[in-house]
Amino acid sequence: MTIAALFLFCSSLIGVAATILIKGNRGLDAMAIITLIAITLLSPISAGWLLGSSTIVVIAMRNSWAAHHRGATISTLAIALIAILFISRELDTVLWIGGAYFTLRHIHVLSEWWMGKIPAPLPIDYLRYQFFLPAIMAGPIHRMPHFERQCRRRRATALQFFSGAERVLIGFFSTVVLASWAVRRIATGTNTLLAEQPEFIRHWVESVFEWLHIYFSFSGFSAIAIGLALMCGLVLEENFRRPWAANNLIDFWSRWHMTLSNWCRDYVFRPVSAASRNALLGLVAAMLAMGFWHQANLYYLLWAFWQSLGIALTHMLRKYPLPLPESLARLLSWLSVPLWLSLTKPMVLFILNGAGL
Amino acid sequence: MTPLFRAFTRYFPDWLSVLMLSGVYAAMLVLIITLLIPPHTFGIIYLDIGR
Repeated sequence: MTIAALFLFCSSLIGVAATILIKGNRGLDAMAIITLIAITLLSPISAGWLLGSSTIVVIAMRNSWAAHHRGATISTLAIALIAILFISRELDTVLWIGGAYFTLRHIHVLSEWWMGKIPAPLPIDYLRYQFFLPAIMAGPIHRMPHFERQCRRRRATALQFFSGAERVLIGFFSTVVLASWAVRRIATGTNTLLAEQPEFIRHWVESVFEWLHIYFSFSGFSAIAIGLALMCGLVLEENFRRPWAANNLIDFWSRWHMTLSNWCRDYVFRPVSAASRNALLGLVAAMLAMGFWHQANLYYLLWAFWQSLGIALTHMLRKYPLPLPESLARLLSWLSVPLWLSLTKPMVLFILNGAGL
Repeated sequence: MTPLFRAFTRYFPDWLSVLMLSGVYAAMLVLIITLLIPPHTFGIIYLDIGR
């Protein structure tokens, strides 16, 4: 955990105190101001990006010309927002905060507005939604209608405060102790033991520990964010729902980083599938969006194809099940999830190395 | 009743649950603080206390 992350956590605690002391939406407005100050102190360019993009998006939605040309508005803004996100990724020397998350939140609100599911939000409501510090750094990519409902119902109680604080503690334990210390130490020891093994085996074992590391660190960060929000009296969407209990790959992706998976399902998979009348194309597009959201390179291109292949095979096996006893089929299906996921890295690197890339 | 406390009280009496919850909280806090603060970050503080 970096000093920047700790600074944002401490700022979030100040924000939580403000939301408890100041009742109603004014408490959340205070949180938004604290968010702006904290991000400006750490990374003025990120603060400018968040404030500028939020202002442009909300003004565009409230503009009468844009209301009559919703398709053109959302296309222009979505392309611009995604382009800025990818450009920011190329500038490694700058500390970027939360761009990957608030860009997806912008597109979510624009899409819902375009489909006519929500009216153009008031600027104050939109800024309150985008400038919620606990969810800035590592999500969850919470939805605006849900957030507004939570804001209306918000009543910070002692039970919610202590349940949230406990969640924060568990999140820290997961990130600091399990991910950064335990998994990393075991991985380092195992890598030393496997130094003489073939490259494929080493990558495979590395991949197992990387999945575990991502799980413990990312679910920990999500737990901290959800816990801090709960301390303010807001229930945010969950990001992980026991993904290792998934009984197949489709089930896994509905339990792993759920707010991103749901975003890709609603704004990539469904539109592409509907427009092309081809669910497979929609699946590949959704997985490409998910992969490129992490990083736009050849590795994640192949990563997306590998995951799409896994999901397509799972669909086929559902349609044409193997002639096996039910308990054995269920066990194999459950085992196929960690096997397929851990094989992602060695397979992708094998293909890239084989192609000399 | 927090989720962890509720989980403990499901299997143990209240007094034991309180003790266990305190123990778990304390253990987690000690581990987090120990591992979160690397020696080089606050080297001077460690020197002052004799490390």
